Amino acid sequence: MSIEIVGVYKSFRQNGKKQVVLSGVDLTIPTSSSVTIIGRSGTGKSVLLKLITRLFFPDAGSIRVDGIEVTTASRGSIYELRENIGFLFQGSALFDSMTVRENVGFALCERSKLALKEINDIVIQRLKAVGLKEDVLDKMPSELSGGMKKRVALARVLATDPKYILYDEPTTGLDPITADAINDLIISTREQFGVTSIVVTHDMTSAFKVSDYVAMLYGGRIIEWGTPEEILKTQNPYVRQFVQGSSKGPISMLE
Amino acid sequence: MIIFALENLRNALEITGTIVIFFFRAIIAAVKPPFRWRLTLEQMVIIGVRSLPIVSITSLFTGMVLAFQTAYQINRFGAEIYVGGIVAMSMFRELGPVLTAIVVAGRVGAGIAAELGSMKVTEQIDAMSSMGVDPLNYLVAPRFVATVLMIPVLSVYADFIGYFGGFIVGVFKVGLNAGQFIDRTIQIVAPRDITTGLAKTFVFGAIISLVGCFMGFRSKGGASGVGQATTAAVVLASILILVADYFMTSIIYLME
Repeated sequence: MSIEIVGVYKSFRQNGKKQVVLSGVDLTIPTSSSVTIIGRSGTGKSVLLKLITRLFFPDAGSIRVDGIEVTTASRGSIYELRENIGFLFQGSALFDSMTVRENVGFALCERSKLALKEINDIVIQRLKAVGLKEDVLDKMPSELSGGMKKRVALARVLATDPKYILYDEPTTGLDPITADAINDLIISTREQFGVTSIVVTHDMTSAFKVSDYVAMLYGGRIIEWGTPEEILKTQNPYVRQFVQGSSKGPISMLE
Repeated sequence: MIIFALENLRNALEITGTIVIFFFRAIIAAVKPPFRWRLTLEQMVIIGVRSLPIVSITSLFTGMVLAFQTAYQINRFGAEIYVGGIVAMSMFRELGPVLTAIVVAGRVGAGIAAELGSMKVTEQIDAMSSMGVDPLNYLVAPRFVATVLMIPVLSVYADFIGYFGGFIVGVFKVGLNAGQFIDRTIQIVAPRDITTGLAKTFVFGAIISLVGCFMGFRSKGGASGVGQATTAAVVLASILILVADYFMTSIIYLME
């Protein structure tokens, strides 16, 4: 019961040119742990998350979730697997034609056989878990602030009781106080629901606060893995430059 | 030079291939359960009912100008009594279906591409997939079914509005006898003229919705990407409608 990523390659073709994003990523996420993947913008952190739920196919390599090979699994088993994997998108990705209630209840309405009344109870309960009151239920996403959208999106993820939650830059674009509140939510979600979480971020405060392990993605590979304390004390000049947030060092600005 | 040409050919083939695959997957998604009644009805209102004003105006004026032009040209042969029949034939066989399709491609095709495109760039479509719901089934199928059902209805409606426009101009402007106008129409027009026109509209409906959805799903890179997708959807759908119309008409005449 874990996520194992072995030798994953992924490139995209843009304007006829091949752009290599991931070149041999190896990463194992231990069950019930919280792992943060750090790295600069555009290094393929989000791509890696999307590969885990097969929103993209990798060019090569193996990704196993609970022992199921994601890369070759049938469509049916992928859809089943996705019920266990919650994905919190960077821009929240709430359906803007639906109310908060419909958004949070969407997966349950579609995939479960629960009655509307039961779904409604779960929706209210999950909203409570992320610190929202019932008065948001019938609001549209456009009426919510960025922080509230993130909370609703997290409630939507929690609605199906996933075993894994993938957070794509959960604190990007939020003010420091809201960002910290989201960090607290990630921690409490893990404690309350016992989920394994992977957080992709370049927010170092968030990385050190929420994770058991930190992995750094650079040049298409994981170049460092350790507990937050180990990462802080690392001798690797690339990691040190990133953690300290310095423009001077082996990582060039031009990359 | 040769490499460049080959690269272009490769891109063109790749895009054609993706379109064909998308079309097949969309059609499969439309016939596979769960069938989404509520969403399909919603789309039928958006696509069908809300297109009525623009389809009315387009076909009314086309019928009017058609009667005008026909009467003016045919006057030289002293065959003015046939104006009604000619207007009806042109509207039923060709102009009703094609004009409706082109106008709806501009209104509905663009709308579909813009809506799905902005859902794509804000990751709402990915979010749907990640929750185990197939976007082809949830988003594409209702739009596809609704368009394929509504374009024929709109076309028949356009046929008669266009004929009505021709009647108004023929009788009140050109000064033809109303009874004769209708008599000659009935004499010339066969039910087959309506059905052959109607047969084509199902294909037009499929083109409009599938091209709109395809372009929406492919869009990337924020607002400008959505804009490009919308433009591309209207252009490609219009071209495909005209080309498909030519070939379908050829086949229909071959069979007659």
